[in-house]
Amino acid sequence: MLSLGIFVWAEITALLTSLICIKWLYKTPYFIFVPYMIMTVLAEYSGYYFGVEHKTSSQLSPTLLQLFPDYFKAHKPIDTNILVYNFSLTIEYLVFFFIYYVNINKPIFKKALLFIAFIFFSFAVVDLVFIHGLFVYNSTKMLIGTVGIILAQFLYLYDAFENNEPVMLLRQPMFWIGLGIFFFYLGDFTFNLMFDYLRKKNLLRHSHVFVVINHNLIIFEYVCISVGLIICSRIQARSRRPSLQSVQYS
Amino acid sequence: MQQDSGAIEAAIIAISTIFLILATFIVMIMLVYRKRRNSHIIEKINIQANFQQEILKAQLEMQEQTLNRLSREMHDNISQVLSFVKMTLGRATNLNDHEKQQKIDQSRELISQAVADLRDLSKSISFEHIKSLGLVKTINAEVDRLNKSGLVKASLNIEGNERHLGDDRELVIFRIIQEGINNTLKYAEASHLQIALQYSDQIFNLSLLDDGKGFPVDAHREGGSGLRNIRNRANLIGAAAVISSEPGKGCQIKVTLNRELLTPN
Repeated sequence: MLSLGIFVWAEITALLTSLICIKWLYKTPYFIFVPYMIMTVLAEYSGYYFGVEHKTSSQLSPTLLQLFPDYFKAHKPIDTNILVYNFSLTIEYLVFFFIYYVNINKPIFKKALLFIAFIFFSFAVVDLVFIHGLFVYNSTKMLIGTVGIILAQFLYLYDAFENNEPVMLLRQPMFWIGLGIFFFYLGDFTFNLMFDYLRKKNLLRHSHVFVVINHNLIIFEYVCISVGLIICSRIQARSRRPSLQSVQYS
Repeated sequence: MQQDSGAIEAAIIAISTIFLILATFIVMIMLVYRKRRNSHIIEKINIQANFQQEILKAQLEMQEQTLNRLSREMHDNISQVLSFVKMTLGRATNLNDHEKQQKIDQSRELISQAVADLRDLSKSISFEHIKSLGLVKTINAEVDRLNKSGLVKASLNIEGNERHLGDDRELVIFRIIQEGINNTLKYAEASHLQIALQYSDQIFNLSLLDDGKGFPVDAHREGGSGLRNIRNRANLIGAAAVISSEPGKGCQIKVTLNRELLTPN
């Protein structure tokens, strides 16, 4: 049994929330959080497995070694950890861009968001194929994605502010989800910006305080996502509840 | 190496903290402004709903007033004329040819008058006629009606080039004029009523001036639904209504509509 950090438990809580609310999230764009949370928790779990608990190939499960003998001879477990993150983080950014896209009303903002997502995806491919490769953390992609998400959040906030109908932001699922995402990526921005430099100077292992902040931001992010999903399911539940009139006349 | 690492980590943490504080401010400001915007939007919706309600009320009042007038006119005028014609023609059977011809001519004249009255009545019967005739022509018809009734000598004076103020606004202005006329007829014991419209690029002014017995304005500030209605209706279209009067010195109602509200709705 792995000893998971509190931030992973926050992710598991968000996964459980999405599963509990699945009935109400179905047919809404927020349904994407169900597969997304499953992927995130699995990626986090594999990250712990390969990157924290089993640092050498000999410590890995014999079944895994039997299944992929050549792969684990050529690569350390940490490589698998990075490989998983390189793919899961790309999907994470795309999911977030999608959720911003469906929550923005202005066509020009939607187009801008599509453009940002396209730029991000292009950089992700370039980073994966030409710059860092599969087994090195794709920091360029992360930096572009972080800037893109921050811009997307500003577009969402501006769009929500401009809305000509009375909108209670605290009762909007996207407000909470956006809040968590915004704070997390804003907090991580400097670290992503400095990542290549820290790696070159071999200073990554000394960034303990930053790791603590990062883990707290993850907790905040997934608590916010959970709140957003609960609000969405409550809105859906209320809208699907039959009115007194329809009961009376049905 | 350890020192470098500490300095860089401190810098990253400091910048990240500044970003997070900024983000908190942005979100807080957003929430506060959104709340204010919400109340502004709700207020606007309420004002629009009230406006529509008042317009509907004004239309209903006009309709009711028109029907009352119609009923009165039919009873007091057309019905009387037709009864007289019936009686005249009934008596004509026993008369000689010359007298019969006289009675027939007399009856024809009376019927022509009744037809003309009916035509006038049908013109003014619909509150929609403000839309088709326009404000000035509708007020003119009202002035003619007042003069014909002999209750008060009314006049209409127009300054500047007439322009359309918007259907709803013209309806409300006409209702204010009708309310003013009603007050004059009911309470003022006036012999003259002057209605003046002033059109300019900057402003539209309406003035109703009578030479009646007047009243102390303060006494009517709170009470008097007629005068209160005039003020409320003027507010409804963004105009200002000033009612000035003194005992023995008549009464003047002035309604002013500013430039920015002069575009037709």
